[in-house]
Amino acid sequence: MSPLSPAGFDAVVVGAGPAGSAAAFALAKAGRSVVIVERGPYPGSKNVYGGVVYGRILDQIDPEWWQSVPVQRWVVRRSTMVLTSSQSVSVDVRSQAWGGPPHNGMTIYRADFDSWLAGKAVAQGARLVCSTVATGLIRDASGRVCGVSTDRPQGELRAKVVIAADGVNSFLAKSAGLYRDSSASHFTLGVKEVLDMDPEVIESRFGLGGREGLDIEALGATGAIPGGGFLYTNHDSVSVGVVVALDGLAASRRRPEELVASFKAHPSIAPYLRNSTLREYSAHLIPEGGYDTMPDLVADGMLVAGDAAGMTLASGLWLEGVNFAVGAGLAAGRAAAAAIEAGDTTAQGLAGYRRQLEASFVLADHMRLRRAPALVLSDRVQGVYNKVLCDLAEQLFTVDNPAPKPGLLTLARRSMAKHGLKFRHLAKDGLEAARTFR
Amino acid sequence: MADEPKLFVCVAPDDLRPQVDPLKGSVIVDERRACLSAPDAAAVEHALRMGEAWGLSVVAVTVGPAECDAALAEVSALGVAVRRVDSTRTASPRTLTPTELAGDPRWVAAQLAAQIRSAGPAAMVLCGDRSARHGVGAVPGLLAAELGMPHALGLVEVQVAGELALRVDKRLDGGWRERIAVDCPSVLSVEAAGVRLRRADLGSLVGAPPTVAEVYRAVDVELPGAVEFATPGPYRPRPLRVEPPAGSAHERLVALAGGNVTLSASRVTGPLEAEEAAGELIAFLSAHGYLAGEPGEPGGSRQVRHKD
Repeated sequence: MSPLSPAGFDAVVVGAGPAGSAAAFALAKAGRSVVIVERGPYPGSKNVYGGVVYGRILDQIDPEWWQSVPVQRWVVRRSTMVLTSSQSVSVDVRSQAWGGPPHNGMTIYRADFDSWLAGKAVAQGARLVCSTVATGLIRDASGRVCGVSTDRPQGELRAKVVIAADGVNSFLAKSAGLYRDSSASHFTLGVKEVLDMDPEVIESRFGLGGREGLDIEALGATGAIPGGGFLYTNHDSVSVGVVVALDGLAASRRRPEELVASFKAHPSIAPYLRNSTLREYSAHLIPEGGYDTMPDLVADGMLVAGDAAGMTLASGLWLEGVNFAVGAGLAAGRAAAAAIEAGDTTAQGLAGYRRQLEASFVLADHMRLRRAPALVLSDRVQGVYNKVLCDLAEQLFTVDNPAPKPGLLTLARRSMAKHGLKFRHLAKDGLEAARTFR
Repeated sequence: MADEPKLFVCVAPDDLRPQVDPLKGSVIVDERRACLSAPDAAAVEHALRMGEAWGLSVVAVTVGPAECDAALAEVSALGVAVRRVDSTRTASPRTLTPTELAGDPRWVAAQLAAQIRSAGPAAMVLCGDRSARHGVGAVPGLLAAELGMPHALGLVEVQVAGELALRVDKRLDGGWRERIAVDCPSVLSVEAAGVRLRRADLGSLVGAPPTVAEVYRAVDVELPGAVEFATPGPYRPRPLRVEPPAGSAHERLVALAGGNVTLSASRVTGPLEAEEAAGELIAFLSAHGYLAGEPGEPGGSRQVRHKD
């Protein structure tokens, strides 16, 4: 391994989140000297995300990761809920197989998870420097990125490759000119409350046992603002909140905490949260624009990974971020190590990063589901289909004797007409959905 | 050099923003957030300045768990040798027991003194005036007693006045300051005033070894009469006994509505001379029970009591 000195590392990774720590892990494992620069006092300290992480990508870091990962609960119930202000329709999927290795989803606190993942990188030989903010890029005479400047005295770190994993709205990626368009419409705002709840209450109220967990995703929870709601169980708390389109939120002139309060007061959600106590409130931007809004991933001497590259997958059915960040980080680390080995860290030499991403789920899923964000956040999906579906379900199960039961098609027509949904809309959106999720 | 005088600075890295359980009142700390308190940081900065002025090395001494090492890495990168007496706790974050929360300052002072004695002669020992661990500022005084050194406390300014001599400003009540000369060796308790701890440069941080602190086991210390802490319970105000109201509900309603009061019609007595008018008023007040005695009795007309 190359000696650790600020004058010349093989790689500098900015940000000790999932992407950064995974990249540092891959580089260190390849025998490269790497330093992670983290602005917080410890990895995860600045993160407010806490949600469902799909852990199979961690097989590439630790084959038995589930034995040491700081999990809150293993998700065995996944419920997708469609709401109006007074109705709800749920599809509830439960699998006890998800409760055992290798598991499926897990709820975590990012402060714990990020520290754990950074520990894996440090154990491989990466150097972690906390409480240090990367303030800019250093370029050589040819314009190639060759390091970062920080807010510390004598704070320049030079390296053959810089990996920007500095999170959403990446300052470094913008400095490098990799963002072609960073419009607010590419971002959503996640707003979350963590509510204290006794583990026994969680288990009885949500039908869980031991370390089992529940994840609820809700459509139609944010009124006229495009977005959705979520609720998931931690060990002794419940996280509940909404994710809303940034431009829609601004146009509505509503406060985000009002939206969370409204979601919590919904008749299908409120009973779950009875007698809980607020522990924490937080909000964070999420890059949900998808494949079409990603920046250029490679520049001379530089790679971008994770949220910095807009890699959160928000496709309605699947809402994933951390696994994509870890996958991208591992690919970035491996591509950087290969480029360093080959002695070519130009954009061309680092092009293997994109090839690896395309060959893996990271870009393969994003490319396949590139139409999903626009479909999911469209007016009809957000504000019409939920009402049609809830009305249809309500009428279907309303026994209105002595009148005979109406036919399903009649009910569907009645519900569609009530909410102004035409068959041509249905056909158009159905076709779009088929093309998106084919 | 073991015989060379050293500057010692005692620090207590801790979670400066612990959570408090609103129901149980217990304190929940996350030791990953451990960092130096502002007084401790000021003490380190003063020690570094003294070290530069006198050409002495600085040694930081602490009592704490392994999670303190991250906070100590920054101190180490400033060129300070670090000695830690291990008091490893269980997984973080966790709830502190009352004994752990308060600690015993005599035990802490004894551990620090043992480290200072073993590391070499002390030219000066600096401490933050109180720790974030529920400290009340007792450790520096007890440490001075352990080491047999004079103790200057409440220091808001520390200036080097010559070879191994200081001029310090001590905070007094009412905004006053006392300027005193301090000779070595002494124990100084400094407040978080006037100085800010310098940041370590990046090269020192990156080049630092993975383990920055020399770790030592705690020495056995006898603590006769140590304070025992009971387990705290949630806040329970003392109950206030309220007597049940007298009479039936009907009687109380009648009383509230004024049904039991015999009203007398207003009476016009005048115009009268002043003496006669005063007599009329006193007679009226006496008749309605506002005066203790009859007019003319000793103190009778002056003993006014309030009617409940």
